[in-house]
Amino acid sequence: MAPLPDRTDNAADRRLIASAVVAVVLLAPALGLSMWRPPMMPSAELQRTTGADAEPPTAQDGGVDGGEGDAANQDVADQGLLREPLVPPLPPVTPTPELSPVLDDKIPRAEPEPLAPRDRPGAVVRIVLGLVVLLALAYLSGHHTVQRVEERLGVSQVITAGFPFVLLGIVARTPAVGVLTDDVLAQLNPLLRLGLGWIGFMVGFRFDSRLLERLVPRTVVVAALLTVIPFTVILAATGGMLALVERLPEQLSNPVFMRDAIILGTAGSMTAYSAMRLVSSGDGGADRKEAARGVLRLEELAGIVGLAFIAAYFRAQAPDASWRLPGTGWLLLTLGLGMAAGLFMYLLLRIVSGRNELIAVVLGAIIFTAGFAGAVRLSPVVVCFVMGLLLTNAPGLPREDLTAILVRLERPLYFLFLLIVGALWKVGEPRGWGLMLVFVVSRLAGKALAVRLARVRRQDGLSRRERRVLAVAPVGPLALAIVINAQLLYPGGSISMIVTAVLGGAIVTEIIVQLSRRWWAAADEQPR
Amino acid sequence: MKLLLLLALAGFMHAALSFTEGGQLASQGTALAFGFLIVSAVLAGRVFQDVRLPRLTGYLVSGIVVGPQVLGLLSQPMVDSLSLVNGVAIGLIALSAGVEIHLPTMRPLLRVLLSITGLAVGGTIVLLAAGCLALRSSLPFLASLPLAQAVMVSVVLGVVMVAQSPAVVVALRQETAAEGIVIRTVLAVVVLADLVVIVLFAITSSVAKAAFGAEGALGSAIGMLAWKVFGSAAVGAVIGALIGAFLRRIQGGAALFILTACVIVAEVGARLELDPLLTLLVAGLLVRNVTGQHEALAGAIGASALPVYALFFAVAGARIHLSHGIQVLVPLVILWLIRGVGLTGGTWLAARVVQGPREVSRYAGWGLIPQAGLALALATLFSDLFPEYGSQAAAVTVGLVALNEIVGPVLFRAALGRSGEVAKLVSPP
Repeated sequence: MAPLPDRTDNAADRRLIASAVVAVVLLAPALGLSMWRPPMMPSAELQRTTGADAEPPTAQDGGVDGGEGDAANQDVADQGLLREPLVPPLPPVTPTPELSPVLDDKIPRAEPEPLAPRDRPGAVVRIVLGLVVLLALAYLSGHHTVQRVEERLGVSQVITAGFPFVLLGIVARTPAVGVLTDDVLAQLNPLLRLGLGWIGFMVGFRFDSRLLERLVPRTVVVAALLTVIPFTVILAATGGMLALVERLPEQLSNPVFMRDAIILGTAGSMTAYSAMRLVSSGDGGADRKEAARGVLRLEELAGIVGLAFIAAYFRAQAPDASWRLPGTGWLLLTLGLGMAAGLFMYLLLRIVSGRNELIAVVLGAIIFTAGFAGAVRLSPVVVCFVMGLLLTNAPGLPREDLTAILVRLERPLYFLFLLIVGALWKVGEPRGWGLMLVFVVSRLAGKALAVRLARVRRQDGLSRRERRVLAVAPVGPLALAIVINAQLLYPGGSISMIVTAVLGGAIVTEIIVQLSRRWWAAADEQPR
Repeated sequence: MKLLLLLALAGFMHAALSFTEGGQLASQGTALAFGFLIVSAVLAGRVFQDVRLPRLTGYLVSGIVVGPQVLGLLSQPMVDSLSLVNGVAIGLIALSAGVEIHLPTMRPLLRVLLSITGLAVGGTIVLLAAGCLALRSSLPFLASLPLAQAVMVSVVLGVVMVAQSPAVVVALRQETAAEGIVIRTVLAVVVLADLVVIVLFAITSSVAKAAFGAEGALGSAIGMLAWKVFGSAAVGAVIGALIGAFLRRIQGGAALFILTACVIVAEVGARLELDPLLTLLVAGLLVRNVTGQHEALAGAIGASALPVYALFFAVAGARIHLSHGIQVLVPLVILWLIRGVGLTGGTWLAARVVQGPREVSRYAGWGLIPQAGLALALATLFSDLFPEYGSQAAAVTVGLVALNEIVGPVLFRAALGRSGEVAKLVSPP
């Protein structure tokens, strides 16, 4: 192992301290919530309110805090040795058929059935045509005429953001095309988990602690407003819609209902980092850009905290689980796993040599960590975020090589992730589309309100343009990761509606961003 | 440090498995196995490199050790769930092998190639068949057959056991950055020999089935063979043309397109009974020799090379059933020696007959020893074709593959070193 470099400026120490601060930020909600005691719902009532896929909690699966309990734990709880759970355990769910391939191991993985000789020519023609269509799409997407049309229609950013891959996934899953069959999806599921882990890792890796050092209080205030207000507005609006759709007006403390609303609020408060390209770099632009970057990073941190909280406290019952922890225990485990994986990857990166080995180790470590988190039903996004955060602030790593590799692999992996997400998407869910409308409108309203509040006495340090960018902001990969991660954690019931709302909302918001940007440009050009 | 990290990794894996009662994970286990195999293989490869053994052997050994047969950190369903990943890896390896074959450069070596394929590969098939017959008393499934049928089955087994591994040769070439006449000859021979073995297996197995009285076996086998060889080549040519067009016309995204092609060939190709190795080998050959886009192709798939090799060989290691070979250890060792002597001696003789380069006669034969995917696939096919004693025969063939999978790369690496074609590299590329 190479010796650690001598760093006399204590920068490394400062970074580690900053990482610890972030860790405390992650823990703070847990500590606060551990003092809060929500009203408990009788299990029969819980059962009645959680939909058709809920099964009555039994002695075996009616657990303690984290959800993975058994009768023995119930006895311990009865004796007062364990406290009542912070959030009642969620009922077990039956995965929707769309998700079964990436959740069940019950799909037979036998050798594929050979086609009859008479069917072969047709299949070969379909393969070739499929590849020709892909080739043609790739060619056309780079063609200047097509790009002009995309600009005119206001969908160029939708294309750049990779949403056609979602469409491709939907098409490839159809029985007529038959490429992304259940068996193929089952075997591609490491890519889905890699995608989730990768997004979390990249958010953590970009969270350089120097950013925290440079943050000014007003940036923190703007970030807090831009996170909390949209979260609250979306929570209220979509919560109302969910209560209406699910006919649960009397069940506001229902954990499933609470979970869904929190997922929507958390995903909706995220802003795509691509919004930065809309921020001007003119006079004083560098400072404002830095402020906007700080706001977006803090938003991402809030999203990670929200997801960590959901995964730790809203745990579905799992009769086969042998680990039983309270919610705060799961949260601590999330942090500990991320830090242990980060330390492991740090040591790995210290001994690798050469670019190819670096790629292998980075890919392998992220998939392994994401797989581990998935195996213990934690969030791969959060665990890999902690790993990335630790690595970016650790001394003695080949940062430039690592960054180059991460950036190079980011888009292909994200597109593959979107392809699988598209294949798993239950598009024909009318309630989800209704929820999507509420989600988009409440998100825009929340963001606009937050920007307006932040502008009071012009203390936000942002120009009019940046305010517009933050108010009408695209939904980023982290929001998609949050909702897909939630779908993997709670694969049945109402979650498919939430996915439609966020995924559809992300596409619609991209179009709104483009149109409003053009409208503003036209308005700015008009003589006052 | 590397060993400590391997231990820590095993500890992580054990902890993850302990989450569920019984240690059986659902689909999350696929991602866990995927990442675990890549990292453990890379680490084991570095450990083996430190003791001057091929990293490739480290990948295999790591798969064996963590797999269901030894430590059991990977269960059999976990290993099975990686079959598509494995299929894609084979596709990428075949593409790389095809791109390595530049026909104008190979033309002067044509006589040597044909001679080695005929004498070394063909001769070894005869030797192995004779060896199986001679060992009839130690191989119960042959002992019970009449002589004529035993001869037929021995010939089929000879074909199965002679199969080589382009994947190992390509991976070792990448690892050692070897360049020269030996590595180029070996690569061309193993590709050509693979084709010959596929064709010979189809012919001999159908003749054997016909000898056993199966109706229509010969006709359907010839049809199947024609489809497998010509169908794979035709589909491979179309895919190669499309990849070439993509690389020529479109900026960016080539890696995704190639990956998609590999997934389709691995998944749909299996249902079409195409040979994925042959299909993408032809595609690679076409890209190299017709479209001239080989550098762009190498650039597009270069980044994925190491993870792909590490995963492919680690999965191959995890699939090795050591117990099978132990049951028939004595005949296995004898057949292993026959194969080794046949291939190295045959290559020496073949190169001398056509007055080929001295380095080829001395060292190229060692490159024919490693075995991997094709031999295992043929062993499985053999079991399917002759179910009454296929599993007993598979114990011999799979045991032989396991032995050659582990020892072959070490021998070939040493031969390449002695030939002077290994680049002066200590660290990996």
